[in-house]
Amino acid sequence: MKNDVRTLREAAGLSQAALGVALEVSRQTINAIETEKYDPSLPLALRIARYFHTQIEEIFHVND
Amino acid sequence: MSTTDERIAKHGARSLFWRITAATAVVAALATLVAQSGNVAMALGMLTGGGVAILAIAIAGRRYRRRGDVSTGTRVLAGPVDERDRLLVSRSWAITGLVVVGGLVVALLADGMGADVKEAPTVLLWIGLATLVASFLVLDRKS
Repeated sequence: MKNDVRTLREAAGLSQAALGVALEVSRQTINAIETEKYDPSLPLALRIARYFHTQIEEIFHVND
Repeated sequence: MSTTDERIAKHGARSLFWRITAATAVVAALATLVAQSGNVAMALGMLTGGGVAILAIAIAGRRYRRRGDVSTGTRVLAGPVDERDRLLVSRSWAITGLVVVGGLVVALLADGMGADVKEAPTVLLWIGLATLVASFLVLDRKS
Protein backbone atom coordinates (compact mmCIF):
# COMPACT_ATOMS: atom_id res chain seq x y z
CA MET A 1 0.00 0.00 0.00
CA LYS A 2 1.36 3.42 -0.96
CA ASN A 3 1.74 5.91 1.87
CA ASP A 4 3.07 9.34 2.71
CA VAL A 5 4.69 8.43 6.02
CA ARG A 6 8.20 9.32 4.85
CA THR A 7 7.07 12.71 3.52
CA LEU A 8 5.22 13.51 6.75
CA ARG A 9 8.09 12.32 8.93
CA GLU A 10 10.69 14.32 7.05
CA ALA A 11 8.43 17.39 7.10
CA ALA A 12 8.25 17.00 10.89
CA GLY A 13 12.04 16.76 11.05
CA LEU A 14 11.99 13.33 12.67
CA SER A 15 14.28 10.36 12.23
CA GLN A 16 12.80 6.90 11.70
CA ALA A 17 13.98 5.95 15.19
CA ALA A 18 12.33 9.00 16.76
CA LEU A 19 9.02 8.29 15.02
CA GLY A 20 9.32 4.66 16.09
CA VAL A 21 9.71 5.71 19.74
CA ALA A 22 6.74 8.07 19.45
CA LEU A 23 4.56 5.31 17.97
CA GLU A 24 6.03 2.55 20.19
CA VAL A 25 7.32 0.48 17.27
CA SER A 26 10.83 -0.26 16.04
CA ARG A 27 12.82 1.79 13.55
CA GLN A 28 12.70 -1.22 11.23
CA THR A 29 8.91 -1.17 11.29
CA ILE A 30 8.85 2.50 10.31
CA ASN A 31 11.34 1.77 7.52
CA ALA A 32 9.29 -1.21 6.30
CA ILE A 33 6.14 0.94 6.22
CA GLU A 34 7.89 3.77 4.35
CA THR A 35 9.34 1.38 1.77
CA GLU A 36 5.90 -0.24 1.37
CA LYS A 37 7.17 -3.65 2.41
CA TYR A 38 4.84 -3.79 5.38
CA ASP A 39 1.27 -2.59 5.79
CA PRO A 40 0.63 -1.49 9.37
CA SER A 41 -2.27 -2.83 11.39
CA LEU A 42 -5.36 -0.63 11.65
CA PRO A 43 -4.48 0.46 15.24
CA LEU A 44 -0.96 1.47 14.15
CA ALA A 45 -2.29 3.24 11.05
CA LEU A 46 -4.65 5.17 13.34
CA ARG A 47 -1.77 6.08 15.67
CA ILE A 48 0.25 7.31 12.69
CA ALA A 49 -2.66 9.41 11.46
CA ARG A 50 -3.30 10.86 14.93
CA TYR A 51 0.38 11.61 15.41
CA PHE A 52 0.44 13.68 12.22
CA HIS A 53 -2.99 15.21 12.97
CA THR A 54 -4.60 13.86 9.82
CA GLN A 55 -6.83 11.04 8.57
CA ILE A 56 -5.78 7.51 7.58
CA GLU A 57 -7.00 8.00 4.02
CA GLU A 58 -4.82 11.10 3.70
CA ILE A 59 -1.73 8.98 4.44
CA PHE A 60 -2.43 5.52 3.01
CA HIS A 61 -3.50 4.95 -0.58
CA VAL A 62 -4.57 1.68 -2.16
CA ASN A 63 -2.37 0.66 -5.12
CA ASP A 64 -4.45 0.91 -8.34
CA MET B 1 15.81 8.64 28.06
CA SER B 2 12.14 9.49 27.37
CA THR B 3 9.26 8.07 29.39
CA THR B 4 8.39 5.74 26.50
CA ASP B 5 12.00 4.52 26.30
CA GLU B 6 12.08 3.91 30.06
CA ARG B 7 8.81 1.97 29.96
CA ILE B 8 10.01 -0.16 27.04
CA ALA B 9 13.38 -0.74 28.75
CA LYS B 10 11.72 -1.78 32.04
CA HIS B 11 9.29 -4.07 30.23
CA GLY B 12 12.17 -5.53 28.24
CA ALA B 13 14.29 -6.20 31.32
CA ARG B 14 11.39 -7.92 33.12
CA SER B 15 10.47 -9.94 30.04
CA LEU B 16 14.11 -10.98 29.53
CA PHE B 17 14.52 -12.02 33.17
CA TRP B 18 11.45 -14.28 33.01
CA ARG B 19 12.47 -15.73 29.65
CA ILE B 20 15.92 -16.64 30.92
CA THR B 21 14.55 -18.01 34.21
CA ALA B 22 11.94 -20.12 32.40
CA ALA B 23 14.44 -21.38 29.81
CA THR B 24 16.96 -22.32 32.53
CA ALA B 25 14.30 -24.16 34.54
CA VAL B 26 13.06 -26.09 31.49
CA VAL B 27 16.58 -27.06 30.36
CA ALA B 28 17.62 -28.12 33.90
CA ALA B 29 14.43 -30.15 34.43
CA LEU B 30 14.71 -31.94 31.08
CA ALA B 31 18.44 -32.65 31.52
CA THR B 32 17.77 -34.04 35.02
CA LEU B 33 15.02 -36.33 33.69
CA VAL B 34 17.24 -37.56 30.87
CA ALA B 35 20.20 -38.09 33.25
CA GLN B 36 17.98 -40.08 35.65
CA SER B 37 16.98 -42.36 32.79
CA GLY B 38 20.68 -43.20 32.42
CA ASN B 39 21.59 -41.16 29.33
CA VAL B 40 24.16 -38.85 30.94
CA ALA B 41 25.84 -37.92 27.63
CA MET B 42 22.53 -36.69 26.19
CA ALA B 43 21.83 -34.75 29.40
CA LEU B 44 25.23 -33.05 29.15
CA GLY B 45 24.49 -32.25 25.50
CA MET B 46 21.17 -30.71 26.48
CA LEU B 47 22.85 -28.62 29.19
CA THR B 48 25.51 -27.43 26.72
CA GLY B 49 23.04 -26.63 23.94
CA GLY B 50 20.56 -25.06 26.34
CA GLY B 51 23.33 -23.04 27.98
CA VAL B 52 24.50 -21.67 24.64
CA ALA B 53 20.93 -20.71 23.69
CA ILE B 54 20.34 -19.00 27.05
CA LEU B 55 23.66 -17.18 26.73
CA ALA B 56 22.61 -15.96 23.26
CA ILE B 57 19.37 -14.60 24.73
CA ALA B 58 21.27 -12.88 27.54
CA ILE B 59 23.72 -11.29 25.07
CA ALA B 60 20.79 -10.17 22.89
CA GLY B 61 19.19 -8.60 25.97
CA ARG B 62 22.38 -6.78 26.88
CA ARG B 63 22.72 -5.44 23.33
CA TYR B 64 19.09 -4.31 23.43
CA ARG B 65 19.50 -2.45 26.73
CA ARG B 66 22.77 -0.81 25.72
CA ARG B 67 21.98 0.11 22.13
CA GLY B 68 18.19 0.37 22.00
CA ASP B 69 18.11 0.28 18.18
CA VAL B 70 18.87 -3.36 17.42
CA SER B 71 18.02 -5.92 14.76
CA THR B 72 14.65 -7.66 14.59
CA GLY B 73 16.26 -10.94 15.65
CA THR B 74 17.77 -9.38 18.79
CA ARG B 75 14.43 -7.83 19.67
CA VAL B 76 12.61 -11.13 19.21
CA LEU B 77 15.09 -12.86 21.52
CA ALA B 78 15.28 -10.11 24.14
CA GLY B 79 11.93 -8.34 23.70
CA PRO B 80 9.80 -6.31 23.76
CA VAL B 81 8.55 -6.87 20.22
CA ASP B 82 6.22 -4.80 18.07
CA GLU B 83 3.49 -5.87 15.64
CA ARG B 84 5.85 -6.44 12.70
CA ASP B 85 8.16 -8.61 14.83
CA ARG B 86 5.18 -10.70 15.97
CA LEU B 87 4.01 -11.09 12.36
CA LEU B 88 7.48 -12.23 11.23
CA VAL B 89 7.69 -14.75 14.08
CA SER B 90 4.24 -16.20 13.42
CA ARG B 91 4.92 -16.45 9.66
CA SER B 92 8.26 -18.15 10.34
CA TRP B 93 6.56 -20.68 12.64
CA ALA B 94 3.87 -21.27 10.00
CA ILE B 95 6.50 -22.07 7.35
CA THR B 96 8.38 -24.27 9.85
CA GLY B 97 5.18 -26.14 10.69
CA LEU B 98 4.47 -26.80 7.01
CA VAL B 99 8.01 -28.08 6.41
CA VAL B 100 7.98 -30.34 9.49
CA VAL B 101 4.54 -31.75 8.68
CA GLY B 102 5.75 -32.43 5.14
CA GLY B 103 8.82 -34.14 6.56
CA LEU B 104 6.64 -36.23 8.87
CA VAL B 105 4.53 -37.38 5.93
CA VAL B 106 7.68 -38.37 4.04
CA ALA B 107 9.02 -40.21 7.12
CA LEU B 108 5.72 -42.06 7.61
CA LEU B 109 5.65 -43.08 3.94
CA ALA B 110 9.27 -44.24 4.19
CA ASP B 111 8.40 -46.20 7.34
CA GLY B 112 5.47 -47.77 5.54
CA MET B 113 7.78 -48.88 2.76
CA GLY B 114 10.10 -50.51 5.27
CA ALA B 115 12.87 -47.90 5.50
CA ASP B 116 14.76 -47.29 8.75
CA VAL B 117 13.34 -44.02 10.12
CA LYS B 118 14.86 -44.22 13.60
CA GLU B 119 16.75 -40.94 13.08
CA ALA B 120 13.76 -39.14 11.55
CA PRO B 121 12.75 -37.20 14.74
CA THR B 122 16.29 -35.83 15.17
CA VAL B 123 16.61 -34.94 11.48
CA LEU B 124 13.18 -33.28 11.48
CA LEU B 125 14.05 -31.28 14.58
CA TRP B 126 17.19 -29.89 12.94
CA ILE B 127 15.36 -29.25 9.67
CA GLY B 128 12.67 -27.43 11.67
CA LEU B 129 15.20 -25.28 13.52
CA ALA B 130 17.05 -24.44 10.30
CA THR B 131 13.77 -23.59 8.56
CA LEU B 132 12.69 -21.37 11.46
CA VAL B 133 15.92 -19.37 11.42
CA ALA B 134 16.19 -19.18 7.60
CA SER B 135 12.55 -18.22 7.07
CA PHE B 136 12.79 -15.55 9.79
CA LEU B 137 15.91 -14.04 8.20
CA VAL B 138 14.39 -14.03 4.70
CA LEU B 139 11.06 -12.59 5.88
CA ASP B 140 12.88 -9.93 7.90
CA ARG B 141 14.71 -8.76 4.77
CA LYS B 142 11.66 -8.89 2.53
CA SER B 143 9.00 -7.35 4.77
